[in-house]
Amino acid sequence: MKILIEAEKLKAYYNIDLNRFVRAVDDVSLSIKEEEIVGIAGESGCGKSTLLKVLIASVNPPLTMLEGKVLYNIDGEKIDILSLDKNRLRDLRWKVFSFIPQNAMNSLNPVSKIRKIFLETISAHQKIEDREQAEKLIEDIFEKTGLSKKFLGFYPVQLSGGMKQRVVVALATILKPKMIFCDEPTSGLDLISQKNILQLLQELQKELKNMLVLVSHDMGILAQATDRIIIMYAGKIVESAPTKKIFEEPYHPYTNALINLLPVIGDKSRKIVFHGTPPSLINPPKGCRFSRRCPFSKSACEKEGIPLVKVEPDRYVACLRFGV
Amino acid sequence: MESKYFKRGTSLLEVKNLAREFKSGLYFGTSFKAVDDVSFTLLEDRPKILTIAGESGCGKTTLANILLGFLKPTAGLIMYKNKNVSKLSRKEKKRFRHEVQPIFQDPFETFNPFNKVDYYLMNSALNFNIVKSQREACEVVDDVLRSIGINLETVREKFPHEFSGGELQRLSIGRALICRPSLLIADEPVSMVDASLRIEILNLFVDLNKKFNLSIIYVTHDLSTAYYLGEKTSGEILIIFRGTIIEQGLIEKVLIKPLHPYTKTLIEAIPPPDPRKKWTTSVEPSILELEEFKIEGCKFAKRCQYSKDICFKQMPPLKHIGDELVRCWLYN
Amino acid sequence: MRLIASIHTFQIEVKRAFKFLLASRYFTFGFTVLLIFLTLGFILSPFAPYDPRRWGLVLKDLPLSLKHPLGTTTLGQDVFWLMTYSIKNSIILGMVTATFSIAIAMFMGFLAGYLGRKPSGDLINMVIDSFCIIPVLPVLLILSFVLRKYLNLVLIGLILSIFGWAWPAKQLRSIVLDIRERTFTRTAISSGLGMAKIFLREYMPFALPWLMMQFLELINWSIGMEATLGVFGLSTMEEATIGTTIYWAMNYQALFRGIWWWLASPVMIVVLFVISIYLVSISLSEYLNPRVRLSQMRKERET
Repeated sequence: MKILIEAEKLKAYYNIDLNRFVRAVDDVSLSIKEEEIVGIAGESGCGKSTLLKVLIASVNPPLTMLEGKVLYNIDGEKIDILSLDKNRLRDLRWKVFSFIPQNAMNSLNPVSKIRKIFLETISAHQKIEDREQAEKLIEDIFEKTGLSKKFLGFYPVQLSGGMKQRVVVALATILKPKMIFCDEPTSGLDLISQKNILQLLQELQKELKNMLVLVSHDMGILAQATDRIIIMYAGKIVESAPTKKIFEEPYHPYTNALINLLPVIGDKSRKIVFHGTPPSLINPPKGCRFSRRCPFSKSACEKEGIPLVKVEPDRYVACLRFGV
Repeated sequence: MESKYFKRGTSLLEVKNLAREFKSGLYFGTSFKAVDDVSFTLLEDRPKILTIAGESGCGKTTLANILLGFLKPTAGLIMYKNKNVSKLSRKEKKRFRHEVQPIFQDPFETFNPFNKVDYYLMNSALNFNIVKSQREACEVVDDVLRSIGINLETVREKFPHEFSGGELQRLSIGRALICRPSLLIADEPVSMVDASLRIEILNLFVDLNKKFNLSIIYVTHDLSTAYYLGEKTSGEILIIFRGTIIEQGLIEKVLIKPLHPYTKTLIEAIPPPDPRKKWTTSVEPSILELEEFKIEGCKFAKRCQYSKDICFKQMPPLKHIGDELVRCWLYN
Repeated sequence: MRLIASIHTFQIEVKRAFKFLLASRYFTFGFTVLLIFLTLGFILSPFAPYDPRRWGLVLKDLPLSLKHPLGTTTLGQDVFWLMTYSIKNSIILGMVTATFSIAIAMFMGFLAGYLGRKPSGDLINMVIDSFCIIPVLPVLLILSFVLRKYLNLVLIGLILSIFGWAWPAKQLRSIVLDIRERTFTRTAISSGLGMAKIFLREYMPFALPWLMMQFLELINWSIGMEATLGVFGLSTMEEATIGTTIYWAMNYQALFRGIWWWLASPVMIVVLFVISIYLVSISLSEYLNPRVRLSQMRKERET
């Protein structure tokens, strides 16, 4: 499988005033292959949403790129999308890659009927000669996403949360992009709609064979829907491994804690919490950012930056206990 | 079930056939019952964690607001310590406010952004005669805050926007505890909070119930956290679907061996954090929530794999199956 | 102790406000004009060499000159000093109207908000709405005519207040209805805070921006109304006001006779006044918008 996205040493900071930055994404590199479903996990403030913004070249002030490239492999050519101008980027958007932002279902234009929303989306990103072509695309995606045609005449407010999110997924997939990015696609949805949307995303992926990136804090949905998971903490990647391996045996202590803290029906253990909170991203500490909360930390952990090391062919960890 | 052994003198909260109707004029012009025929009892001498669970939009937040006295029911009765909540004298109303404390879902909405957070903390201590002077109030506030991982010094004179969501939620819980409540009603207290704080708060609830004999009503859509709480405290659960209780009983029983088809669907929809246990079934979500509210019979009938004719026409009654209560024609 | 603390906080608020506001050209312009008017009206006017209310103190119908910067009227008054008195009186009138209107609005608005959607609340709401839609001018004309013997600045102010309170009350009611349902109000109730405290500390911070805006708009409105009443000869004849000046100027056909400065001065002043207050009020409302205020507070805490 060829690599579709390569991100190199990304440093994306939020500029809060003249000299101070929030180092939301601090030296992150990753690569994703075609047809892969990758989850980016972490708690609030870890930088995963910012990373997503960078990966889709949606970097607007106060967010600034200090360093780094995001290379898309399009038709054999490697293009750094961060250096593209707006027009070129718009050409790529929705046809080569699309994204579903957080709370997308609440940003559907409330005064447009669903049909209009679809037609506008299509024509904004693709030259459509006749209306019939567009209608065919809509019919096609409605079938794939299990949406009833009668919804075309509805207003978004008439649909339930789960249905609205299906519409959002349909909008993101209608031009059959090879890369789809989602930020918390099931937040605000109840359990049943959540399951429905995740299963939909997986089914669509099987059919369209696209690469899917899922950003979420919910390890449960990532366990269900992803092939590989990237764990972030305080602006850095701490572990990246196939989903099965991460759950079977998490290497990084933070990953371990994250997984073991999940309450599960049938699990009668009393979970012990590791205290403290993630460090400030304005003045992050030297060395491993998790060390102050880590049960295994030693003095070496606080000295210098801990690199992300390949410990197995498909597994990377940033921890002194592994690899280095 | 509690209602069988109800003794007048020891009732903490008794809810009988509670209902709340809303007139929705927006697109249907009819009224619908957000809460319908909800009954349960909490005993004072047997403090319990009662979970009220259901999807978003099922009426559980409306129910929580009614129980807290912020919304009036359109039918039914709530008795707090044997007094009808809608007919309380001024003094009794104050006592109700004192002893029944809320914890809300959104920590950023819980405090007025224009007021310092300690304004609420100190008032909670002073207004209910828990302390008599400012100095005593500071001591009590500090004590309580320390028991949940913070202290008064770091919190003094600060506005809500100076805290993170997690810190604010701790403060919200602290504020409720300062009042020395008899009953905590927590509406999705951990849904907007990170994994580690979530467990911390759940552990705290377990301790409050077991060591300090506090009763807690835990409203949530997250069955896994409900299980965590209920399993450690022999808690009970009410499963609410479109405003009605469809299953009621001990959490250990209901979540491990659910009886109602909806409960089964709900439990199967929980994403197990184990890639070896992938979902095997698929679900049909509701298309138009308000449509479902208007169905005459069982509101789950359209999506239920076991539905029969009678399910669409008549609402099944709550029936005892062992020591559980189920509302389903399968068991009638 | 608490008084000192709150004065101190107030000082900080004011400093913070001015820092933001003075950055806007519109505000600076409006504010400067208002300061000039205030100076003219209150500081300069006591030193008027000719009492503008008395007629015949200066030569009539003189055009603009160094001695009479705005000329003189047919009644033998110096227009410049007449204007300083008029400005003073307009400001006084504006303040009277605004204060009474806002006071009534606060009472009615909070009451309506507190009663909410109960029948009694709906009744109060109907009363508020009625006062909002009654055509103001005809009623004011009648009242002014009936009370013309007793008219003075304060009375006109009170009469104007009869209508001035309605719109602010309506706004206040909807603010209260909204804030009532918000979570932090419930936190306040659960903290044992009484209704009075809740109004003061939970509702007022949100209502304050609107009330201040309304206050300024009421000043504007009352000045304009007084001028209108003056055109009909129904303003207070005893004081020197914009309205009466316009009245007399029109009465003596100032424009036709070429004594344009007699009419132009009050009109210009009214226009300038209204524009300046408007500019100040929109800048203020932008600043007082809770989101802006909060982000200012946040920025400060971070530095």
